[in-house]
Amino acid sequence: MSTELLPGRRRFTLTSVLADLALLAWFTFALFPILWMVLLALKTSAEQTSTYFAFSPTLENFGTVLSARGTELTSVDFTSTLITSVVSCVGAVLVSLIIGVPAAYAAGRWKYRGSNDVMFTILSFRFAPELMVVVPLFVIYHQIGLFDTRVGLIWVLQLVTMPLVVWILRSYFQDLPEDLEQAALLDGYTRRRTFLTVALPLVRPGIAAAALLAFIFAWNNYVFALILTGNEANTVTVAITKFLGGGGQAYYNLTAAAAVIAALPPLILALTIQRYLVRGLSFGAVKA
Amino acid sequence: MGTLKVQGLRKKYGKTTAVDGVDLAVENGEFFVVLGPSGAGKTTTLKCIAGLLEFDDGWIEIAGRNMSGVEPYHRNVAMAFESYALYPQKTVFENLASPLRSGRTGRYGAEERRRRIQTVTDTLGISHLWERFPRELSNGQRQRVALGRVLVRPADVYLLDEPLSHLDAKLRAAMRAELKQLGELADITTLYVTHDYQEALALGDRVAVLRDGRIVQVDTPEQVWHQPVDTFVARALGQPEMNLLDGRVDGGRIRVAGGTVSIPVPPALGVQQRQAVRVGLRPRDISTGADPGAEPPGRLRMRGTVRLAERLGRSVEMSVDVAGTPVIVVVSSDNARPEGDEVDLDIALEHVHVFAGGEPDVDTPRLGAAGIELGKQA
Amino acid sequence: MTTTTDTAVSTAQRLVLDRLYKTFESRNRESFAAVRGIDLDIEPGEMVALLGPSGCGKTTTLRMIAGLEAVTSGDIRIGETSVASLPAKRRNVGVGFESYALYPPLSVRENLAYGLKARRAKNVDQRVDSMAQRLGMTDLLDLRPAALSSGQKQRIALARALIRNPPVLLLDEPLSHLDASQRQHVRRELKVLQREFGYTTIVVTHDQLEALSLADRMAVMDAGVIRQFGSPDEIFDDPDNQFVADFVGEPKINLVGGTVRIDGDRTMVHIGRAGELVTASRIVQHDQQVTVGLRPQDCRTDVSPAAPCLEGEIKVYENLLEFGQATVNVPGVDDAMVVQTPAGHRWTRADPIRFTAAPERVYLFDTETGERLR
Repeated sequence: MSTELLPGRRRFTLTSVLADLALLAWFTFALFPILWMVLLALKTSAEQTSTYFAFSPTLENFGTVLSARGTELTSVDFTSTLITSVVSCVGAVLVSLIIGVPAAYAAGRWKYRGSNDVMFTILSFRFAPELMVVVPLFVIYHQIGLFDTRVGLIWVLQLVTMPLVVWILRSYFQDLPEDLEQAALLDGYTRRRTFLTVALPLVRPGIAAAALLAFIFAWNNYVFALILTGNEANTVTVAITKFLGGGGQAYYNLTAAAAVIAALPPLILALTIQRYLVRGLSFGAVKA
Repeated sequence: MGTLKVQGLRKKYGKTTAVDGVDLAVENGEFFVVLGPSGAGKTTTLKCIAGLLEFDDGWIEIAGRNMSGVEPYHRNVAMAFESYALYPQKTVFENLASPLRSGRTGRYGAEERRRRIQTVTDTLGISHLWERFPRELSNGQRQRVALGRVLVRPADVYLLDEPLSHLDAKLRAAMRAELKQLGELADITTLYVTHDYQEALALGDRVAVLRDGRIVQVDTPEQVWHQPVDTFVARALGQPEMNLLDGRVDGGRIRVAGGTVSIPVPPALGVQQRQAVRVGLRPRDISTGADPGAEPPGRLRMRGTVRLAERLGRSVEMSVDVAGTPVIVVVSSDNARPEGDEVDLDIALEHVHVFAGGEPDVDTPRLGAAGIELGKQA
Repeated sequence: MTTTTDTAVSTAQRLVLDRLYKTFESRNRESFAAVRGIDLDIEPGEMVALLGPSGCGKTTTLRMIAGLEAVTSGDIRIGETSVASLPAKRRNVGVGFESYALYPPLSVRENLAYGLKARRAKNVDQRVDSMAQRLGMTDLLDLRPAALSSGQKQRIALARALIRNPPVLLLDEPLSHLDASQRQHVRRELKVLQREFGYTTIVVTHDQLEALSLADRMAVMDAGVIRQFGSPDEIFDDPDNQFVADFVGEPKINLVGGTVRIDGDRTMVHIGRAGELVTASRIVQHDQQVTVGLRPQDCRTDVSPAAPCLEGEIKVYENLLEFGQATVNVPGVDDAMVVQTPAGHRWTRADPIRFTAAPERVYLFDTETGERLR
């Protein structure tokens, strides 16, 4: 018989089985660090270096990280770094939305001399290695008093998130049929009201997607937070590493527990706005 | 209500010229149709008039007011878009209320707004759709809502951009009749853009034929149909297209189809001996079933073989081979002949058009007022 | 081995669809019967159109013939061979898809040769050359698809389907991508080519005009079944049911309620308040309620004073110069009726108009089933 089967019938050929196995292997490899992190977070200090999967799980580590004992070990209050992270990331996302959404609209709608250059310049902030700009920023921050403040963090994280927001939303605005806004202009609305009442509501899914991505990028930022803050405005990413111990013992289990806690806010955020993300993907179907 | 004047309008996109010196003068209350193939610059012209596009040269006047530098929302112009451009997040009612809420088309209380929307939706037969969203409507309904949003408000000029083009053939014919009725009932200045010659003929008080950004002819539908100024206009109106037969003037007659068929040269035509010409015959002006034999005065007779007969609903389109020249003929199925049959074709000389000769793909101008002259001479 | 034998048309084959069914099973939704028992017997060399609204099962039928969709039950025979269980590549069926499906990076020549090379055919270049010659497109062979007009692309897509000399050719909406004037030319060309090459051809279309003009015979489909199969003349002049009458014909047929009155050997049908038409229908009873179908193109306005007719008032008159189209309010009839009027006579709104039609063109349908009452 022919190896080519009619459509709709399940095929079990050697290649398809091999492909499935390869896929499985890739998944294991990709997800294993996360699994290991979770397992490690449940181990006691005595078991933390063992590689056995069998152990007696405990939630003690999470308590330790969040309590005064944790602060004692790392000289940083983990709970307050969580708050700092949330405040600075939300702040950075808000700043980049307030400035980035109109910028993206302008970039998506109007072509003028050098409009592509401007867009490229915005993107180029993402090209520069953070370590390259962080030293001058360190000096400037010290001089103008932004060092180790939450405002300073917001300002520097906004550098990370703004290009993302502008580039993602620009394509959303470009996908909007221009006719809609033109119809509104002829209905008698000014350009500003046309933007606010016609264009903006239609890119809401895009805004949700861009905001989530921006938040994740800001949340995971390590270098800026490490160098531009002292003890007052540390972020979680920095705080996690302190459990690895600068001077004394390395608490791998506590580090893992802190990492698990730190992974929760972006996860929760992603789940809550998942609905918008899916709608964002199927945006084309809404076209009038 | 108001007049619309456009003079010397020019618009380039990069290196391509979309509109190349368009002049229009639409009278108060006139239904004016611009007919042209896609890419002729129809939509660009409309958007320039509406103020949605900046143009390179020219001058636009609406209701006696020069429009240069006037924002679209200050022009008092309503426009229906080819894409309908309904606000997807708003209901039908809210879509229609939008122009009434802006405050720039007049001030309306909630009561007055409701009343106006009621009137328009009753006329268009969409009153039961008020609470629906555009995505819940059929194409025909969307198209009505788009028209409704235009008609619900007062405006000096109404611009309609191919409003029927996305409808299927049957719905399009029905909507065309409705538009015609609306145009007759409401005496409003309308500029209507289309690629469909039947819409142009049915709806227009006058028709302008646009080609490559230039206006080729402006006339009443009858004039454009009976006296096309060149072969482009002649081919643009009529489906199937007008037959164009290459011929030559020879001894006071125009000979086509290898010399087997000839018509007398009308005196006023101004052609010379041996001059190349094209003879235009509309497929539906030709009939079958003439008596073979002598050609009566005022008529042209041709004999040929049916090569192909295609049923087009009630009528049949026949490709008839007249001495090696194919002639397309459309007749009612009752008068059609099967493939392979000999057939005698007949056409009145007053329906014969004469154009200058030229290369196959080059359009050439009409010679004299040939149709009428030919008829008179007979 | 000469070019002529290699490119000669393989004998056209008869194509038979025998009680063909296709049901789409879906895990979370109800199963959907797309094709529900189709019988078709297509003569060798015949061109048959499958016509119907979207979702009527015509494309599914085509895909089953091509082998792109498994058959749920029933049989497909090409010649004497049952092909229902053969994979697509062994069915020897040429398919022209709705989209041109030309590979953009390849030249026209390579596009045409592609299918042959995949089958390790011999004399590929010769076959391509001779096909191009027959279709009059030798000058296009070295171009890339991007440089072609849509009409040319359509022709090349057709050539690619033809080049394998399939005994059966399937075309899915072959003209839908063309604009009106191109469509006319390509349609005529397609018909002539099909005649000349003599393939057994199935064309799937939703455009009734295309089906009428192209096909030797056509099947009008609705909801997975064939509602009528016949020549274009039969379909248009003698529809079996209201669906066919309504779907085929543009402008749309007028469908109005009526009451039968038998008057001696004449059958009359009473319409609206005072209208009456003579019909050729015989299998109806006095006082029977029926749906009357009257095509706008069949209406005549030269009615002698005493003759039975419909009377109304012009609501809209459109002068299309080749003819006129009047929308008429007839007293007692809910929807306005459309009447095609002869060229030359002009009407204006509110003019009275009288019209009638030949008895054999006044169709009666059962109000319940929509079946034709002959």
